[in-house]
Amino acid sequence: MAASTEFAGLVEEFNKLISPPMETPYAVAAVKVLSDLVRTSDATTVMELQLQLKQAIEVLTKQVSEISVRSGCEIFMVNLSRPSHDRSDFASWKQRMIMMGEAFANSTRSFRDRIAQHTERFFRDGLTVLTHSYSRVVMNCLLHASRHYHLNIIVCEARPASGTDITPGMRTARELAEHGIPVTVVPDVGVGAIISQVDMILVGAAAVVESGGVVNRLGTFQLAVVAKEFKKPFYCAAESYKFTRLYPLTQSDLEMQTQIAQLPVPNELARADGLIKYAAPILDYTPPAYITLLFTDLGILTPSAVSDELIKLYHE
Amino acid sequence: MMAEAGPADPQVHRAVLEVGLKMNRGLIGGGSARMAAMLEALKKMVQDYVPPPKATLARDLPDQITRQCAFFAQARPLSLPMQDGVTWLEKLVANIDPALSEEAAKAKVVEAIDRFITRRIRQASDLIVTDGVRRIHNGDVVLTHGSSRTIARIFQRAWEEGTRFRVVVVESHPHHEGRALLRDLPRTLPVTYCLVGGLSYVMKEVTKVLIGVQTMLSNGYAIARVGTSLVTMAASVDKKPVIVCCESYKFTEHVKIDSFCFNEKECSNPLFISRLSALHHLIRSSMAEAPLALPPHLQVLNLQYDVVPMQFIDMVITEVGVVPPTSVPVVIREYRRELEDR
Repeated sequence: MAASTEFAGLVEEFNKLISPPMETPYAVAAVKVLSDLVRTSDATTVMELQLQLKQAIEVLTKQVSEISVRSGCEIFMVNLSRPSHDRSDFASWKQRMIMMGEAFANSTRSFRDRIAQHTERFFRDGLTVLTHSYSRVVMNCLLHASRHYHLNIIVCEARPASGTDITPGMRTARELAEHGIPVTVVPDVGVGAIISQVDMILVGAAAVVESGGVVNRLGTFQLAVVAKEFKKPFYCAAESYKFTRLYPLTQSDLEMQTQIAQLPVPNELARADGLIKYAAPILDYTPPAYITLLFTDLGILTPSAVSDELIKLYHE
Repeated sequence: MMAEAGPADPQVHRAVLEVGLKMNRGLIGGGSARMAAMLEALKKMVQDYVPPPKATLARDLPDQITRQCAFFAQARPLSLPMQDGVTWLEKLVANIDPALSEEAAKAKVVEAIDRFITRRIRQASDLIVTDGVRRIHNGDVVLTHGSSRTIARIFQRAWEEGTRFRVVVVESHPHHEGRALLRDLPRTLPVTYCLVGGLSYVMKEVTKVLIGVQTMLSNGYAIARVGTSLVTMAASVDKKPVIVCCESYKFTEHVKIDSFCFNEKECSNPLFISRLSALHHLIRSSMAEAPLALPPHLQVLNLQYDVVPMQFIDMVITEVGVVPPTSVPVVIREYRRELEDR
């Protein structure tokens, strides 16, 4: 398709943004490349530019099947390219879009700080916090809280890791240790064994969906199920740009949206006849009934408030 | 529950009389069909309306509308969305500019009614069908209860588009709405037909439950055909997702927590007595059937509706998008004014 070659540079730029050392969140990277597109575009009318953006988004979401890319693109289209009164003045409209895009990309850091501040009151000395995988928002919350309180932090490994990387849980542990904070790593299968020591669970999210549930790294759902059974509060911290117009009902609805992780088959499983299959989805879906509260930059929300926020956001 | 009807008000318009009697006999059934029929009849009444001598349209028409609606309510208790519809129309008529000419005022009301029927009933249903079709995937086993035109259309369209799935129709007494639904389904679509008693058996193989409801209440609960609460409870026990299809005009600001604070009791002797009997003086007596004699100690409770708790509903498909049941008040707040004014 002509469109895909046309936007090859855009995808390349996106991939550069999301990989180390930058590691921009997917949604933010999507907004960045889209506002770059607006800046460099040779379109002369609003219609033309909007068409270009739509094509770019199609290419981007096809190439990168990550849910938060979609939410980033949606935010850009709905919020930033919303036609305003001065629509007739193309140049100033375009300028405004670029400015708003950049302002958004730069403000994500403050989103995380705001969440950390909101979350502070949920911590106290001696509290045992269980977290899962690696999440920048959760890291921010934990580092912020550790300045005031002594916390016992437990982190689940969130296996498997892709390629030769360490598991995301290990990464969390390593970064906490770098800040001088003690941390315990448990294998994902050990959640049931340690749940009785835990006071609260705090996880991040790849996406917060319309039902008020969250889509997150594999293992989050089972953590939530165990937490509910043991009546432990299950909190999820997420920036509001992760709110996505998706409504999964079951885990299989998610599989259609996200790729199965491209993981090498472990050596011990490799067989010429292929009788053993290794299946490891990247993400799972935690329904709203398992979530106590969501910590977002909009404030502390109940899961049902997410849908209210989304209706307000997309209802012009 | 129906009050004894007095002789028909001579001022009841004949279109209203006809539709009211049909509703009473159950010849017009289904939430949207009843709502549309009621509005169409009121439209005809407005079109034929001539203010009596010494009265103006702006002063007299609201009373007339109220009178017609009272007849509808007498023929069969109005559903909550119909009550809201009546309130909407009364408000609309009451707000007519008295300076407007008679013809212009009538045209305005007729146009508003037409717009309501097209946008909020017909087009809304089309949009819900489009969304509902996307929720059915290959290999799904979809269970339904009662008979909803929208649900039937979702099944038809999904099947025509090539999705290969199965349907389980759960039937309940005494309306046998499942049979009506079966008639609407494509001939080649595999269907399992079972009674409510077989619910726990069929539920094991079901992948999702799709139902139409009469009303969505502000507390996230739904009013639906009697038996739906049981069906959704069974689904919830087996962790099967329950999807509700509901046009936004059926969202009301009322709150109910159980089936007893509001219900409609049909004749005590199911299937035997026409509701017409109470109104039989209005029509030829041959159409009214004699009540069946029941032993005095026997009371038959034949309820029409029940209330489905929010906990049993996973998703509500509306024409304005897909929302969890907790968002019903938000949809009312955000969309109602816009939908009505446009």
